[in-house]
Amino acid sequence: MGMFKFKKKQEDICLNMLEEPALLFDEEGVFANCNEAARDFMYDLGYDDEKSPETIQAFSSSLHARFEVNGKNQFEYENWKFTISKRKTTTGTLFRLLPIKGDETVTRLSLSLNIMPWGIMTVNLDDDNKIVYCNPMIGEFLGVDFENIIGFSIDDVMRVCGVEESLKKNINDQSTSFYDHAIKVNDHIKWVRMHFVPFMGDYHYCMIVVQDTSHEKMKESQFSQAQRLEALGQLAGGVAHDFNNILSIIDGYARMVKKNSSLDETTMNYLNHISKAVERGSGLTSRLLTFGRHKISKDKIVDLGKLIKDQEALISPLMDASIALSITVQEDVFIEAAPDSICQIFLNLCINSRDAMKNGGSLMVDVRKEEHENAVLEIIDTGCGMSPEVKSKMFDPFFTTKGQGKGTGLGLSMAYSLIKDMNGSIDVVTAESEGTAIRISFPLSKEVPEDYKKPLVDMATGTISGVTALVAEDEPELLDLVTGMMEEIGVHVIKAYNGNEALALQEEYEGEIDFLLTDVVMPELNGVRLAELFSACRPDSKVMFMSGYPANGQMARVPLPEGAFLMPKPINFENLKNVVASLLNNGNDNALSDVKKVTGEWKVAQ
Amino acid sequence: MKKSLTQLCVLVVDDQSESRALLRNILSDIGINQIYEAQDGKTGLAFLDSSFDLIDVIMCDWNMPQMNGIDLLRQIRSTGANTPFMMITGRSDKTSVVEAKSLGVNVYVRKPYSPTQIEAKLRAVVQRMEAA
Repeated sequence: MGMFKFKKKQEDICLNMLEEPALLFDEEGVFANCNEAARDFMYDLGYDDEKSPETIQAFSSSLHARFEVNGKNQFEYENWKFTISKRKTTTGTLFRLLPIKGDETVTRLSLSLNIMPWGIMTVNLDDDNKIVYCNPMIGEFLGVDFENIIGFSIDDVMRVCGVEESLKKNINDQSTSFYDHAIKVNDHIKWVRMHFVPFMGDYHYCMIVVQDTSHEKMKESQFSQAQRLEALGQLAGGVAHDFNNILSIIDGYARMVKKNSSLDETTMNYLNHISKAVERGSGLTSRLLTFGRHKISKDKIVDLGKLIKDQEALISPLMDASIALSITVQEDVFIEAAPDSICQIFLNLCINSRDAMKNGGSLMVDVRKEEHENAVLEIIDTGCGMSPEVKSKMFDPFFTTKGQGKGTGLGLSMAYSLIKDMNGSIDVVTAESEGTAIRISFPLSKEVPEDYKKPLVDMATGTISGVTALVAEDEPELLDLVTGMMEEIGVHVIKAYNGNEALALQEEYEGEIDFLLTDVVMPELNGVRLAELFSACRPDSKVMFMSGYPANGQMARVPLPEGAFLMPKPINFENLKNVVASLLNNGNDNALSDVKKVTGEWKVAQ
Repeated sequence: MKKSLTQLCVLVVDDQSESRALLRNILSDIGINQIYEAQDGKTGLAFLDSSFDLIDVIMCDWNMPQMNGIDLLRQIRSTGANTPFMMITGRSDKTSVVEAKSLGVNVYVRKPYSPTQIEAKLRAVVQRMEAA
C-alpha cells in the first residue's frame, strides 16, 4: 500500500507540471487522475459543483467516450476551443487539452473591443445601415442593451436617444467625418461625438466610434462663460468709472443748489433724496467693480460673512420688490476659497431663488460657523421648490427648467464643481410649492487673513491690542500724557500737534485708524471741524472729543455735533481705559457713562 | 515759503466742463480763488510749461482725451518737479489707487466726492508743503 501511495504522489507531481488541463485514464478507459488545471477548468465549466449533479468523473467519462468513440479531436465549450492530444503511458492514456492558438488573436481583439472606453458600432451600408456589431460601451453611452440593437438601423437607435436627424450622410461619406450631438439617455443629457470611419475596398460597412464629450463640452462652456464674465467685468469697470463721474456732477450740483438759503423745506428734502441716491449709486459701482474683476483667482483666506454681505448691494437690485431679502452673517468666518468663485456661486443661487419666487416671497441668507469646523452658507427661499425628479437632475450640466434661451443649464453644475474644487459640499432640501433650502459647507480655515486686524479688548485687564488711534492736541505736554496713557493700554498712537497735521497724517497712514481723539479748541483748525474733515476721509472711524475748558472755568462755547462723545479733562488713566474699551465695543457698554454724550449744543460751563 | 489754504493757486485738469465748474465752486467756498483750468493733460502741460512757478497744487482727472492724468503726472515728475498732485477720478478700485500712488500721486480722491473731503485733502497737502 505504501508503494502505491508513493506512486500516486509522483503521478500528481508529473501531471501538475503540465500547464494545460490533463486527465489520466486507465487501460479500461476509466478516469484515474487529473492535474489542478483540469480541475480548475472543469470547475469553471460547472462540474464538481455542489449544485451540479455531474462530477469530474462523469465529465471525464463523457470526454473519453467522445474522443474514443466518435473520433473527434476538437473540443469546444462556450468560448473555449481545444485540441485533444492523446498519448499512451505505462499505466493508461493521458488526455491533454491544448488551447487552439489561432483563435487567441480573435479573443484578444474582441476582449480589447469590449473594454474600450469608446463605443464602437459597425453598420452595413447595403442593408439599411443596420448595426452588425457593437461593443458593450455603446450600450452604456446610449442607454440601451447593446446586444439588442444589433439588426436595427442606426437611425432607429439614435431616435430613441432623441436624435431625429438621419446619419445617412455621414455614414455614406467616403472620408472620415464626425458629428457632435446632445443625446438623451435615461432623461439625462449627454454630449457625444461620433466619428464615422468608412471601410476601405469592397466592404460596404462604416465603423462608428462614439465618445462621451459631456465633460469637454462643459469645460468649453465654462470657459466661454468665464470669458464673457471677464469681458463684462471690463465693461463694468469702464461703465463704473463714467458712472462715478456722472454721479459726482449730480451730487455736486445738488449741493450747490442746497447752499441757497432761501430754499423751502420740500426742495431741501428733494435735494437730500438726490444726495442719498448718489451715495447708493456709488456704493453700487464699487460692488460692480469687485464682481467685474473676474479673473481666475487663486484660493486665499477670505471672510465668508463679509464677502456675502458685500454682495447685498449687487443682489438686492436683482430682486423683485415682492421679495424680502435678508442677509445675516457671523463675524470672522474664514475659509480658504477663491472669492470670485464664491460670488459667482452665490449670485447664481440667488438668481435661481428669485426665479422660483414669481409671486414674491422671502430669501434668507445666513453665514455662520458650525461645530468650530465648518463654515456654512445657507440660502433659503419660499419659492416653488422642486419635484424629486427635478432635484435629482439639478446639478446636471445643460439641465434647465428655465425656458429656451433663458438658462444655460450650467449655473448649478458650475456651482457644484466650484464648490467641490474648494473642498466644500452642497446639500439641498426642497419641497414643491414650499421652497428650497440650499446649504453649502466649507472647512473653516485654520489661519486668518494676512491683513486681518481686529481690535481685541481684554475687559479683565483693560488691555487692548490691534487698535490705532489718531490723537490731536495742541498742548505738547498733554499730547505726550494722553499718548503715554494710550500706549500703556496697548493702543498704537499717531500723534498730531494740530488739526492740519492730523489731516496730513491720516492721509499718509495706509492702515486703518480706529478712532480720532481730538481736543476741541485748537488754533488754526478746531476739533469739531477736524472731526468733520477726518470723517469725510475715513467714514468708518470713530471720533471722540476731549476738552479741558470746564476745568479751567472759561466761558467758551463750542458747538459739538449731536451724539458726539466728549471726555472731560483732566483725563485720568482708569477713565481713559474704560472709555476706549467701550468706544471700541460700539459704545454699548456702561463704561461710557464716564463720557458725556452731547445733546443739542454743548456749553462748556455746564 | 509758507502759504495758507486760501492762498493756494490750483490747476484743475478735467475734460468735463461741469466737473471743472464744480471744483471751482467748491474751491471758492473754501476760500481759494486762484484757479486755472485745463481740459486735458496736453493743455495742462502746456500751461505748466509757461507758468510752472504759479501753481501750488494740481487737481487732475484720470481718463481724458489727448493726454490722461497719469501721463501728465509722468511728464511733470520727469522734470524733477514735486508739485503736489491730486488725482480726482471715477476709478474707485484699489488697484488704481495703488498704481497712482506708486507713480507719485500725493492724494487720491474718488468720485463722487464731498466738498469736505476736498478741503481735508487740501489741508493735508498744505501741511506737507509747510513742512518741506
